Formats: sequence, structure tokens, C-alpha cells
Amino acid sequence: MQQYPTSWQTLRLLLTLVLYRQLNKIMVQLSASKTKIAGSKSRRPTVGKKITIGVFTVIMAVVYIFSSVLFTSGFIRLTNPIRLYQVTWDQLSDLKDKVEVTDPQFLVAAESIIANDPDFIDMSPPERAHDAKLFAECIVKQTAYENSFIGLFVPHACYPLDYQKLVNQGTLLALYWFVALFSMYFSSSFNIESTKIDTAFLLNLPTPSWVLLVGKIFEYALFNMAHWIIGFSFFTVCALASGHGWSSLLLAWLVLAPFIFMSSSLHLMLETLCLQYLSFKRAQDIQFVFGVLSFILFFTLINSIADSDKLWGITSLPWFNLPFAWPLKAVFTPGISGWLWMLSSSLFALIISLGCLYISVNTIKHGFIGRFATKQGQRGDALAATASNRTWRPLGLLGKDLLTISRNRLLLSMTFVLPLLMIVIYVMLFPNLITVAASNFRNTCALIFGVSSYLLIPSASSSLSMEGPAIWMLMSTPRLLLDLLRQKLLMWLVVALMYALTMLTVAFLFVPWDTANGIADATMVLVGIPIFSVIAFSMGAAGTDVQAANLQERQKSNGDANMALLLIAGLYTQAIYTTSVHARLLLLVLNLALAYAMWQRLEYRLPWILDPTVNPVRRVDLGDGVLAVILFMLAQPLFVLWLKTSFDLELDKSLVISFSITGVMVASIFLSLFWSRGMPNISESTGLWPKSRLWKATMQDSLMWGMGGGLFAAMIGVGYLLILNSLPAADITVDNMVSKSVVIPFYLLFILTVIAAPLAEEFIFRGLLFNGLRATLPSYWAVLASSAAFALLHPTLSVLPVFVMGCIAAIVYKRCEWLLAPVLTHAVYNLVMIFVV
Amino acid sequence: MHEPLVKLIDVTRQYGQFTAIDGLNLTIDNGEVIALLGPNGAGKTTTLRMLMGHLCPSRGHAYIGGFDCFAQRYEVMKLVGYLPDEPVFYEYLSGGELLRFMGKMHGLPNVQLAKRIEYLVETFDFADAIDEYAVNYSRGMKKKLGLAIALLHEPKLLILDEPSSGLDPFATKILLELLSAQITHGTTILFSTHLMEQAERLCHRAAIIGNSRLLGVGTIAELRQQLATDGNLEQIFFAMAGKTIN
Repeated sequence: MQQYPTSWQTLRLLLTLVLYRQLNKIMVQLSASKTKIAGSKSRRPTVGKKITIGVFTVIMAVVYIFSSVLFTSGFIRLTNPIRLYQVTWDQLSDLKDKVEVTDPQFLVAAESIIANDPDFIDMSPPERAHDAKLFAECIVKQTAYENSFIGLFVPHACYPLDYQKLVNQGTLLALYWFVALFSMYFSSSFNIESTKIDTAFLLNLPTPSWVLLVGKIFEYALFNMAHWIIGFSFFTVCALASGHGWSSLLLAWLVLAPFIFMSSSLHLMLETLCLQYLSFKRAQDIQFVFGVLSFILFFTLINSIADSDKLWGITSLPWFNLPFAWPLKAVFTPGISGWLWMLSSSLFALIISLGCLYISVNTIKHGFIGRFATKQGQRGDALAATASNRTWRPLGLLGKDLLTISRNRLLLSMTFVLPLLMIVIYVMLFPNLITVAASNFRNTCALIFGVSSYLLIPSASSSLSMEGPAIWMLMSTPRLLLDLLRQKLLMWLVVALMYALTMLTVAFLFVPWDTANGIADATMVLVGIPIFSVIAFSMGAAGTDVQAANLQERQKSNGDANMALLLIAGLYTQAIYTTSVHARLLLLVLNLALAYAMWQRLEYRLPWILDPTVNPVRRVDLGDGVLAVILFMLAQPLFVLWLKTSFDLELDKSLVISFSITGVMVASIFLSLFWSRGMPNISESTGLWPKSRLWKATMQDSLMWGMGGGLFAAMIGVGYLLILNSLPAADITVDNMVSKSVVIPFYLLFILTVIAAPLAEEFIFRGLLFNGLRATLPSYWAVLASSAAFALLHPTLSVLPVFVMGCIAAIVYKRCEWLLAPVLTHAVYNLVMIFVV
Repeated sequence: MHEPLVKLIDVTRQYGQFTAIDGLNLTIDNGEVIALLGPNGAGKTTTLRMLMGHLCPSRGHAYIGGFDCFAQRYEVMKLVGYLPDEPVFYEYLSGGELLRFMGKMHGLPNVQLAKRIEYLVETFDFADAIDEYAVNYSRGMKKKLGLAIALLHEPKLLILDEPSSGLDPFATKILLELLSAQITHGTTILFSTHLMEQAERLCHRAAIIGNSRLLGVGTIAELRQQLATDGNLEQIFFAMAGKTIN
């Protein structure tokens, strides 16, 4: 006899369903994020792939736990945070102008200035002296590095971090997190357009509705990665700060889990109420208002972090006793009472969750009779009634875009309102910003670039996502999609440039500037905006999934792209800030190359935009090369920072280790990327293995050419040194060539220059960059361009010989088609150079 | 010898391991009307989308007017008007605005475009709905708008994916009249359908696809001869496609 499952059995079924669906989703995303799977023609992951993904998940989990443990241990060891006030900084800069930093006098003077800092008064004299010495050394090292590119980043690794301040800032962030949690559900994470309760068909089964809703709560709670990760690290840090030690990890988790379930229930309740009682248009209005509100809230709170020194007293504020703040109270209360607060906050979360569930169940007691019942696409209220104007003006691509933006509140707020609002809020909240910007023309220029590029990011990510599934219309007109994108890009570029020019005019009028620097800085801004717009549009368009049903889905992977874009904009802002012409040139070249590479990649990819499963054959392209170089450059200082803070390593050792780790990391990231995208012949096309089958012959060839090339390059290098030495001021030049100001022990220098550097750099510059350039450019251009990028990453005075060495390595690689050859060239060259110097 | 308008040479398309259409060879002459018949999932839509350059054939080539459908999409689109299976339109734009936009994208001069739109709106009888947002249209209205867009630039070839699915009898009647008018006008039409009776009434030749392969192509009489039955198209279809289903 047929038997219907009980409620509990149904719930279990539902949870399994949810779990499967989410796991499949993750698998599809992991296995091939670009090869979207089309409806019924889905390609199920093979067993091998499933195992790979399983292993990957386990590794990720281990990394997650490992890094939080490391973070914890690093935190526990911290002592004596050092703070420096503006007065001290000004005195130090004055000193720098008067005395050479390399002078021993400087160190002594700097130490005494720092030791007199008002913030050190409450420390004992020996402690104070120790910290002052430490800090003075940092400043010397920073200045020593200033001329090379790494100088832009390494100094941050030198400063001992102020963890107390970090915790205070984190607390405020959490405050934001608490308050914004509710409003955010109406904005970005809660999407009015889509009806999320997609298991509603289960209501047709003889199952009580609470089962369905509980399943939904679990789905929201379990797969809200951001909350799990951010919340966990935040609560852990707070618990640590209150002296819970290693048990902080457990306490944080126990506080977090019920809280996430509570917020998921609230989310569900709001969603059900909205779907049941609000029309589409009304709901969208509400979403718009809440989106703007939560944005303002976010920035108000972020801003108050700036002066959060006194915020440690947060626990004494009256709101701290409200039940919603109990999770905070639990992690801020030391000892056993912290655990008791944890229990009560969990209990509170449970009660709220049940309440929300009760309301949700009652809301849909008679089924979905509100908007949910009518699918989008029906007549009537679904979208605002009609378009009002009845003119017969023709409508071009840009006209269509502007018309849509003016009518769609979500798009309007994303592209025009939020960036403007952001600027206004910034100016309101940071009145200092204007003063700081107005004091120095270079700062003003950096600010102008920041504002203009910020404007470009949302418009870039909406360039293709605005088209959506209606893109078939564009595809059935005799226009190239790339040309259409170019039109959109030009429009937004003109808008951004207009902003920049207006602001520059104001700056030229009101901010003091001198002819040479002022014009150079303004040019950097005006050159940077077109470069950045090309990068933003290429990445925005490439990250769009045009066929997804709603805007948020379409822009899903744009989130990552936007983070990358912010980073790139930051990189370029560094180019405006820096005084070194060398670093400027390098950053300019890198950004230019990136723009070219990304546009090229888009051009290659665009014809396949409607093709769900087939991709153009993946090849090593210029984008890989440039991204590898940038990643290599950026990740190094981060590793130095990590090694210094977690293990308290010396700077020299951290440098060597981080260089090697970064090399291995970049190589493995790109190799696994190629592998997961199904690129054929990976090891041959990156030069890891010779192209011809006769590897023994190639080995002979490589040994001969590699050694020969290395000796030849070394000869030129030595010749260059001899010429330099015959010039005046020779001592400094030799020093600068190997960044001698930081004394590195010989064995470390050997490992760094003869083993780690050739392996890592040859893979990146010859294996990826040279090969990527070769795909579209004639070989000699590829040789020159890859060597130029390679050389610019080195200290100014060694650019010339390194450029020659890079050219020789590239030619040698081209001759043998195996990375062994250029690695040998590089190693031999470096070996000779360290002995000579 | 004249060059056929549409030429499909050994066109094969795979989605991962799944073969949607396998080794399709088909030519269509100027002024011909061809129906693409086949059960659900036979590969009709895939074929049409390859002709539109949305998808790239895994093997073989598709040509329209001598241009490669994927590599030279730009040239092909000047010749073709397309109606997808389920037309999706831009949100927040009215039917009239969409027509104006598409006309502009096809490079029609303003005066000519205005006249053309006026004519189409009158023929399709949707003057009332012209100012309403297209996403609010009913299914039939969407098809009509899609067809109007396809006809906007007076293409030599119409590619219609299930033009009559979801239409009520009135709308179907109008559609058939319109297509007949186009046929007398000399437009080449390639359409997919599973409505036998309609196909029989309109088309010169029919191509039957089943199980990802072309099972037979020719006039109804030729197909009949091939199968040695004297049934109508429906019976031919069942005789051919039915075999592969079982």
C-alpha cells in the first residue's frame, strides 16, 4: 500500500535535495566556471572529477582551519603595539630631508624622536628604547627599498601592526554587520526580481508548509559562506582579545552558528512577507530605498572606524545589553560568564528563529496568493504600466541603454546614483579629505583618478549584463558585438573623463602646483582613465553570464572581477602617488599590457558568448602572462607580511622564503587553471617539457645554449659594471644593483638568486609572458616586450643588463623550446654577478 | 549552376558527450520554403542557432549566401531575419521602442524605418500594445513582436523557430497569412515545427530530423515515395521518426 512520508521524512528528503543541489552547483562552478551547462544537455561530472573536487574541498577546509589557527597563534604572541602620532611623523620627515638615511646619525636621531613620542610615555625606558630602535630600522629599510619596485609594498611589512586598533575597527565592522544584515536583505543579497522559494512546487505535495520553510532556512544558513567566514574570524578575534585563548575557536563557532540560523529565518520571513503582500514594483522601490540606506549606513560606520581608538569601551554602551548584541557580549566577556552569555544568545536566537518560522508559516497558510502566484511576464502590474513617450525618434544602442537605465531603478542606482552618493558621503564624512587633497596636487590627482575609476566599475559590469537573454536581438543584427561594446565603453569613458577634467580644472585653479610635476601628474590621471576603462570593460564583459535570468545572477562572477578591478585601480593610484619615475613607468607598462591583453581575450571569447558548453580552445595568452606578473609582484609583500607577523622572521629570510613560495604558488595556480579549463598540451605550451619528443637531444641543446647564453649575458653584465665603476659615485651604484642596503647572508643570496629566482621568474616571464606574447605578436616583439617587463621589475640601475639577459634567455628558450635553457642562462648570469659584486 | 542560399555541410554539434545533431547535409534554394520536422530534442533549435552563428558547429560548416555562419556572422545577419523559440525582450522597453532600436541597428534610414514600422504594426494589428513594455506581452504578442522584428529589414531568408507554438487559432491564422504573403514575395523561409498540417500547407520541402540525424528530406511526394506509403505528412513523420523513438 502506498504510504506518504511523514513530515520528518519529508524534511530529510528536502535537506538532501538542498544539499545535492548546492553541491552540484559548487561542482559545476569548480569544474568549469566558463562552460555553463545548458538545461537538459548537462554534462555530469565524471567520477574522477568528483574525487578531485572532493580532495580540493578537503584541502580548502584544512587551509581554512590551519590559517585561523595560525592567525590565532600570531595574535596571542603579540605584545607592545606601537603607535605613532602625526607629530612624530612630521619630525621624521624633516629629519629625512636633512640627513641621509644611510647615515648612522639618522638612526640615532630617529630613535630619539620616536622614543619621545607621547604614546610611549607609559612604557618603561628599556621597552621604549627597544621599540624605537625597531621602528627606526624599519624607516631606514623602507627608504633603502624606495627606489626599487618592491619598496612600494615592503615597508608595510616592517611596521609592527597595531592589533588593538584592528580589534576596535573589527568591532565597528561587526556593528555594521549586525545592523546592515537586515537592510542588506533588501538590497544586494535579496533579489526582488527572482522568486527564490523555488521548492514551492513541494506545496503541491501533502506536506505541511513548515517543512518546506525549515528546509529553506537550512539552505540559507548552510550556504552563506560570507557569514561563516567573516563571522567566524571576527568572533574569534574578539574572544581572543578578551582572553579566551585557544577555546576562542570553539566559543566563536558556538556563538556564530545559532546567529546565522536566526538571520536566515529573518531573511525567510521578510522574503515571504514581501512575496505575499507587495507588488513587484512596490517591492523594487523598497529594495532601492533599503539599498541606498544600507549603503549610507555602511559608509557611516566604516568612517567611524577611522577614530576608533576609544572604542574599546564599546562594552559599556547601553545597547550592548540588548539581546541582539548578546553574541558580541559573549565573546567580549572573559571567563565562564562568556560561555553563559553564549548559551543565552543561542537560546534567544532559537526563540527568534521559531517566531520567524511561525510568521512565515502563517503568511503562506492559504498558499501563495500574492505576486508569487503570477509569474513574471503576465500583463498588468508586473512591470510599471507603459512607456509614456510616444515619439518616433530612432533609438541607437546608447539611446537604448540610457532609456533602460533611466527606467530601471536597480540599474540607475548601480550605475549613476551609488557612485555619486559615494562621493557625496565621502566628502561629508571626511571633511579632512578635502583639506588633505587640497594641500598637495599629487594627492588631488590620485583622488581624481580614484573617483573616476570608481565610476567606471559598475558601468563596466553592466555593459553586457544589461543585455541579458535579450542579447539574441543584438546577435541578429549585422553588428560585431565587440564594436557595440566599444561604443558603450566610449560613452562611459567620456563620462568619466568629463568628471576627471572638471575636477582637474578645479584642482589647477585652487591647489598649488609646479609646472613639471603638475603636468606629469595630470597626464598620469588622463592616461590612466582610458587604460583602466578598457581593463574594466573587458573584465566586466568577460565576467558576465548573459543567459542567466536576472541581473544579479548575470553579474555573479563580476563580484570577483570588481575586487580585482579595485586592486588594479589601487595599483595605478600607486603609480600616481609614487615619486619614482621607474616605478611609474613599470606600473604604466603593466597596466597598458593588461588592458591590451584583456581586450584581446574578450575579442577571442566574444563570438562564443551564446555557446553554453563549447569554449574556444584555451591557449596561453598575454592575459595569463600579465596576470602572473602582477600576482607575483603583489603576493610577495603579502607573504613577507605574513611570515613576519606569524613567525617573527627577519626581513631577509622572509624575503627569500616569500619569493620562493610566491613562485611556486603562481606556477601552481596557473597550471591548475589551465588544467581545469581543459587546455591541451599544458606542459609543452608553457615550456615545462620540450616540444619535440627527443628530449635527450633537446637536453643537450638546452645545456649548451643555456650555459652559453648565461656566460654571454654575464660578460655583458660585467662589462656594464666596469663602465659604471669608472663613473663617479660608483659605490652607490654597485650597492643599488643588488639592494645591498639590506645585508643578506651569502647562502640565502645564493638560494634566492641562483635557484629560486631563475625557476620562478623563467616560468612566469618566459613560460607565460613570452609564450602569451608570441601567440599574437611576431617573435622579436615578444622577445623585446617580455624582457622589458622583466627588466623593469629590477632596481633602476640594473635595468639595462637585466634587459639584455632577458632577451638572451628568451632567444635561448625559443631555440630549445624548453625552460631548462633560460633557467640555466638566468642561474649562470646571477651566479657570476653575485661573485663579481 | 546557381549557388544555393543555405548550405549545411556535414554539420555536427556536440554538447560535451551529447551529440545534438550529427552530420547534417542540407541545401536550400532561393525562394524555397522548408519545414524542419522532428520530435522534442531532435536538434531542430540547435541547427537553427548554428545558422544564426550563436553556436559553433563542432564539425562541418554552415553557409548562408556563401558566408560562413559562425566566422562571418556579420555578413550573414544582413540577409537573415530570426524569430527564436521563446523570444526574450529587453526589460523596460516598449514594443515600439524595440522596433525602432532594431531598425536602427540594421541601419535603416529614419524615414524608411518609420514607414516600415507603421506598416508592420498595422499588419500585425498591435497598435494598442505598441507603448506597453514588451516583457508584459502575452506569449502570442511576443511572437508577433519577434516576427515583426525579424521582418523589419526585409530579409532574404527568414529563420523561424516554432513560429506557431503557443499561439491561439486567431494568431495562428494571421501568422499563416503573413507567411504566405512573404512566400509570394519571394522570401526564403526555414522554419521548425511539430505541427504536421501546418507544415504540409506551407512548405515546398520538409526535412525530418530524429535522433540527431537527418532522416529524410524532399517534397511530400518524394518522401512518400521513399517510404512507399501514401499517407499525409503526419503519417510519414510517424513512419520515419517513430522508428527512431522506439
